[in-house]
Amino acid sequence: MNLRIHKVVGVIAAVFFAFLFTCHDVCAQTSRTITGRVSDQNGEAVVGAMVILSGTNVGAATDEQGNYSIKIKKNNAVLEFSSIGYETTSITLNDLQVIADVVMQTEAINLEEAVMIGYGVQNKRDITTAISSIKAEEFQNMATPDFRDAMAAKMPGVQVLSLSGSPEGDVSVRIRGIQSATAGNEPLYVIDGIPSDSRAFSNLESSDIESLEVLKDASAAAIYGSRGSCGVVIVTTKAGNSDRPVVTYNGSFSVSNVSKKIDLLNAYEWAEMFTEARNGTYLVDVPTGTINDPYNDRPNGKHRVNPLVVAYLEDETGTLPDTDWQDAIFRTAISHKHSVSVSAKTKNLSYYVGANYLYREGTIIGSDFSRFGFRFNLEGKRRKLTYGIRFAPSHSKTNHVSADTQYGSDGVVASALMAIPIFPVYDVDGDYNWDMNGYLNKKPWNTSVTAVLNPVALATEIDDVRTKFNVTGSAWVGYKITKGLDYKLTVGGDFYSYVRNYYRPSYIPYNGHEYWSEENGFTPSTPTAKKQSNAFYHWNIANQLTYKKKIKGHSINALAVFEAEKETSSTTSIVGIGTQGDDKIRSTKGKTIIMDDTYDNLYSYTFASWLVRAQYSYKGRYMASVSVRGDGSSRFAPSTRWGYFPAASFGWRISDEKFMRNADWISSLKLRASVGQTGNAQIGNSEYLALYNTSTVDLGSGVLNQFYPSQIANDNLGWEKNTQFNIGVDSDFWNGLLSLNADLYYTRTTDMLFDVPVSSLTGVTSTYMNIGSMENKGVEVVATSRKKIGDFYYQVSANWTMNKNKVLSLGHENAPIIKEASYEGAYYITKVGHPVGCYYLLVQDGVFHDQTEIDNYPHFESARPGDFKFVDADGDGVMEKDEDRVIVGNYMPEFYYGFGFELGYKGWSLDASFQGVYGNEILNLEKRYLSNVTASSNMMRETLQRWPHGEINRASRSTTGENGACTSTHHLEDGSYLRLQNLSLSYTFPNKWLKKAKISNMRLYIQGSNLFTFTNYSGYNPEVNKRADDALRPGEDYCSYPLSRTFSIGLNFNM
Amino acid sequence: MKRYIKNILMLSFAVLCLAGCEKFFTQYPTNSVTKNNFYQTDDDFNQAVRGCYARLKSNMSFHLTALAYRGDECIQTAMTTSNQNQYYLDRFEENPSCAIMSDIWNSWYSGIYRCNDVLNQIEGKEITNAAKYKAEALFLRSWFYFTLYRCFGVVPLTTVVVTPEEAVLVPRCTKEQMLQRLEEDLNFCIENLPKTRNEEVARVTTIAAQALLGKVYLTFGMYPEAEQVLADAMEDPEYGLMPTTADVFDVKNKMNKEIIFALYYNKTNDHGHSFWWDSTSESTDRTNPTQNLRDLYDKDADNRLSLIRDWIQLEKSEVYTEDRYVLKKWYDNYDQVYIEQVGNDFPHLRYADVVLMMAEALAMQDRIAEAHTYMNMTRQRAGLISLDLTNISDKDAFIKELANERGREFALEGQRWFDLVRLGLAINHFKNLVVDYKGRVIKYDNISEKNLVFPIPNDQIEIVNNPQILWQNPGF
Repeated sequence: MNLRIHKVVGVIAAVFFAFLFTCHDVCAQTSRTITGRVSDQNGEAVVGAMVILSGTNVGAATDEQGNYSIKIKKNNAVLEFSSIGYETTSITLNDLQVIADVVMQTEAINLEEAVMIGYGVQNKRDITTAISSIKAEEFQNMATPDFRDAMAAKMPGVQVLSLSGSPEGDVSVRIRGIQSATAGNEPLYVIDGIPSDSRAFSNLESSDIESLEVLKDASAAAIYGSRGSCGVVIVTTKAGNSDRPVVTYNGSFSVSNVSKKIDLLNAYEWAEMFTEARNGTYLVDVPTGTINDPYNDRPNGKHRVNPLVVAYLEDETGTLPDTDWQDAIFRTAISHKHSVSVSAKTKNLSYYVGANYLYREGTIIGSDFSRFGFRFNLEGKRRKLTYGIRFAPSHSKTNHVSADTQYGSDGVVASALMAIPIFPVYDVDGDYNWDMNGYLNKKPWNTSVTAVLNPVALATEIDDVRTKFNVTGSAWVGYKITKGLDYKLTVGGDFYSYVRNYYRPSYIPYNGHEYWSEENGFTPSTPTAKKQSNAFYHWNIANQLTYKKKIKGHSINALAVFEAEKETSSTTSIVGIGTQGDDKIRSTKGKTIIMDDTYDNLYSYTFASWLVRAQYSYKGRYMASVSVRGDGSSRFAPSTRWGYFPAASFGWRISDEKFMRNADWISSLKLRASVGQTGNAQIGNSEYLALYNTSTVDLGSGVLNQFYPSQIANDNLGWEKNTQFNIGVDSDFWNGLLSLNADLYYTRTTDMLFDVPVSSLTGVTSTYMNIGSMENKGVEVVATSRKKIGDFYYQVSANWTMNKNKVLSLGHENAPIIKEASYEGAYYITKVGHPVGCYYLLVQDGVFHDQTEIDNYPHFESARPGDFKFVDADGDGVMEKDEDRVIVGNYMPEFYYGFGFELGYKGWSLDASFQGVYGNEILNLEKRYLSNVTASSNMMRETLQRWPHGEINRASRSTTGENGACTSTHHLEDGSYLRLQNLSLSYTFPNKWLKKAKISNMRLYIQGSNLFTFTNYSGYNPEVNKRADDALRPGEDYCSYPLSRTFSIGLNFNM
Repeated sequence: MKRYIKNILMLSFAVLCLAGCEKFFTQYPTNSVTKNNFYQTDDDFNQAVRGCYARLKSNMSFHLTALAYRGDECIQTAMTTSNQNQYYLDRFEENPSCAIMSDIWNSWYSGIYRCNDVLNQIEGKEITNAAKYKAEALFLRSWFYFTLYRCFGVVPLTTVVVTPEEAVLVPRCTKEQMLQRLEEDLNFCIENLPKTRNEEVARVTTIAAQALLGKVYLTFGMYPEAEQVLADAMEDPEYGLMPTTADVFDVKNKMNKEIIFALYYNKTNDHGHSFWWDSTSESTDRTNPTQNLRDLYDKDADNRLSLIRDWIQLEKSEVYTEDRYVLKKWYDNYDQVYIEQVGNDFPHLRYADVVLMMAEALAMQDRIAEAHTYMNMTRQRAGLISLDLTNISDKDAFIKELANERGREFALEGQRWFDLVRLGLAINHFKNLVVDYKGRVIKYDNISEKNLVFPIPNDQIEIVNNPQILWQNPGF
């Protein structure tokens, strides 16, 4: 019935347009009627195929039997036949012909156009949801080990954050903003059909990847139900595709440097500031004093200057070293990578076998990363049976340096930034110099500086070796039950082990002047040895039934899946303390075990799911897809265990409509709309259970075990749900001269998990409840233009994303959630009406210039001229640290974008890509040391602008006026940037040159990564995020591994 | 081939079954025990009861800081950003949002929850020592409820574990219900607690329940009942007074015969605590008693004065390079291993208390002569002369002197404020109290009837959000 209506509508439309546009021709010549039948290669009728007289608008459509009839009046006429899912064919009629039967060939899904959509492949032109996709060639020159870097700046709606420049890579991915406040925000990763955590591809070699798809809208991601709410990244590895074995080699050699150094004071400038700060404090504390008073008579260490520094300043002959501590820990790092693969595809079998090796030095001394891996992919078929195996073991080893910790916790970068430049790296006898850890606090008197350990020693003498061993694999068999109905069983999983061996030797002292003495320089510490390991065992088993049917113009694709998975993880730790001065055995062997840090735990979770999906297409013009997935998880109580996640999407390919036939300039135009629901289960494995934990107590007979309830039952704990609406358009004009894709979305997260206060009668004061809600809305646009003109071609593309996040409701009475940053003086607030995790700080507004200004404005009790002036935000006339805090910014950008070009001429190719972020703020907490103007450690050169020389607070050792004690907008910086992410030039040798050597596709390239960054941010990296997994406290810079700038030269060829 | 297909189908069927199975979803962590797997053996209950004891130590600052400031033992001389709450508590300006109130409420209800959990779970199970465990849990629950009662007046009373939904429906009980609960439970304890200590000396015996019930009766004004139960307590041959008060606190005499119920600390195995030392002997800090408290003592005769007057400077160490002092009462022979800890027991009930409670029970029945006999026991031990009717014959005068004697004997043990309230002296005492701090006069005359209990924590009132269930104390 429906069919008939469609046909009728089709014919009417065809006739109508034919009439409209061709009326004037019709009467001119004698006409004849051509009839015929259109069938596919199996002889079945192709319904609704368009039959068009070439060069005109005369057309007809085939009926249910595949028959058509068209009137023509032309000689040498050519008829074009097109239908969705078939190759377009044409026939030339001889002048007398009146019958023309045509066989149309089913269109093969072009690899370029095939898109992984989760549990299946879809032709790109039929996609009805928001999916971004990149292919193998975008990965091949990657300088970094984490393949996710390849997505940076290429996909709208996908924010790839480079959190640090550590050699093993440190990447965080956010798809369409932040979806959850307390559960996780990392997308789900699916490798060759197996859902995995990000750990599973920490060792994945990028040259093994065939394609990478990101399912962004809820309708696309809903197929992964409970875990799709933060988006899904689908990774497909390579298969053989050449009919004879091909050996491929990819290799590169790179040189890296830190892309930025922080501008610090030199020795002389520091010495001046040091003196000024001590005198400043003295004059405040002792109003009768003068700066000429001898230092040893002054009452406090904060008033005194060291004689060494006095002499240095008096006699500028350079009696003290001027050490650049950043230069001392940074280096020019080399790296190289190689991968070799053999692949082939025969009629019944295809394989891809690869091996790869990567070595990457870190730009900080003492750090490097090496990795080797193998991949074995095999697919085959035998009659109705298909089968495949994917197997990839890999191993990596990291020599880790502690770049993101503070000076008191052996932080290498923090120590280098804070180390006072008047001390040398090594003593005259070549040993490490430890004077920064106490000289100025002890000899000859205390001058109240911050004791810092030698960062070169921290980087090179502490062992911190982390090895990862990882095997991912899957095997599947498929069976063609009947025509169109296929069954597939997939069994897969991964094993991952992580082992960390840590040793902090005795000859690195503890941080603090009490460990420094004039005679020995330092007191040996007690050495610490740690052995920590994690192991993950994860399996997944899926049964899948697919049904494909084409009836005339209708194409149906249905899917039913049942799957189950389980992950077990174990975590073990041993920590031992050795004997002072004894570093013979650098492991836990023979050490005194610290019981509190020694444990061995085992956790697991399970998921069982079913899903059904139906995709329907009518002549490729109207497309619809509906799906529903049910997920059960061990993470929830039986009553809330199962979540159901429906989705639907629709597409309309306007360009295939007959009325568009005249618009030649529109090569393709498709509208999409989708709605779907996903869930978030990124919570702990046993949050709903009543648990008992053990501890010890002494009730008079020694230490005995006690058990106590550590967690109360929470049977109501359920899934966070995400409902998303998406509309989008995919278009292409003048055959690629301009393509435009745009998406508009609105997401609402409901049942968001929050820690809600409950009556203490329950035994706890708060518990998790599904109570909050939040929204994200955004726009994504991509524009591309490409053209080939003779030997020359170009491609230009740009993408732009805007996402706005807003909290709609919180727990109890919508009480805002206020959280401390790493340092207790800095805060974040999550409040209804604002984005999640806003900075919540005092607003600093210049300095007080004189006493009158202080008297006329609310101030802290101790404020003096030259101290920061903070805004009395609540206007109550009193300066209060808590009440005068306001929301001053957020880590989430207002928008982010990427653009790039590729130019080619014969074998030459030049490409560049830029990425940028606008409107995010970074809390540069390291400035509480580097810009506090106490000169207790080294400082940024901007502090030379201290009052009265500029608008930074005056130099003083005491933190008066709350300058140092209050984190304010002085510590908040604009994180906007534009970066030239990649620039490369390559030459592909003509195959004929190398024919004798049997080499083909040889390509040589040079490339620069992270070449320039335009930003006002004063720290190393405007994307830094200390706690990437804590949405309530994002965007803090409290030291990190600086990003590197890398130059590479590389070679690829096939044999 | 057909067999192959069959195998595949069977395998998938097996997976379907597996996933349908409840067992598949039951995944427990190994570093904790779940409720169903816990509470099975005698030892499980024994360990859970130990967990109830451990909870007693969860709010040490309540006994030392909150109650010492609330009474006249310590003062806050000035308000700073870090001590606001103690300052308000000290000056009778406490408000329902004060964190000290919620700390008390939360920590003692958490203890009640643990006891209820044990009591609920032990019901109907075949456990050898069930009666003993029940009695211990009931004793500790009684202690928590009685402490809450003395702080807040009547409070929500539950004898079972409640969910968040049920918790907001439990109303504040009546005085009668509270008394009945405590009386029944403590009588059960008297019947079922062991008479003598086993090697876990800090676990309670019969006398603890008797002493606590005595205090409950005194608090509810039931003097003959108090006299009876205290007399029973004094028949216990294992307990008695130590030769001096200092001996009670000496770490060499841990859990001596005078200590009936105490927080047991032992630093030699890292189970001490670090509450009592300070970086100066000058500051009016948490355990630096006021001159007013010291003035209660006869400074020439009373050997108890030095316990709260004399500071002992601790040895410096690698970790602590600054000066540190500790009051003699809390002095432990500091060693180099757990240098930051002390190991003195902190008594909640001791024999001197039983003796002085007896004096109180008798005096309240106008039997002053007999009451003198008991009060003289601690006086004599302190080196003071005995008193008799020739010195004090009037009941009110005796009660006043008894309060002073209790103040001297139990200085900084968390008794003073509750004593003054129970004996009906608090309002007058504080109205007339004038503290001279370095020439600055500090007064407490804004005390009124409402201050005899603390305000119910505001967050709890907001959570319950029903004045019929949980209402604020009048005046707050």
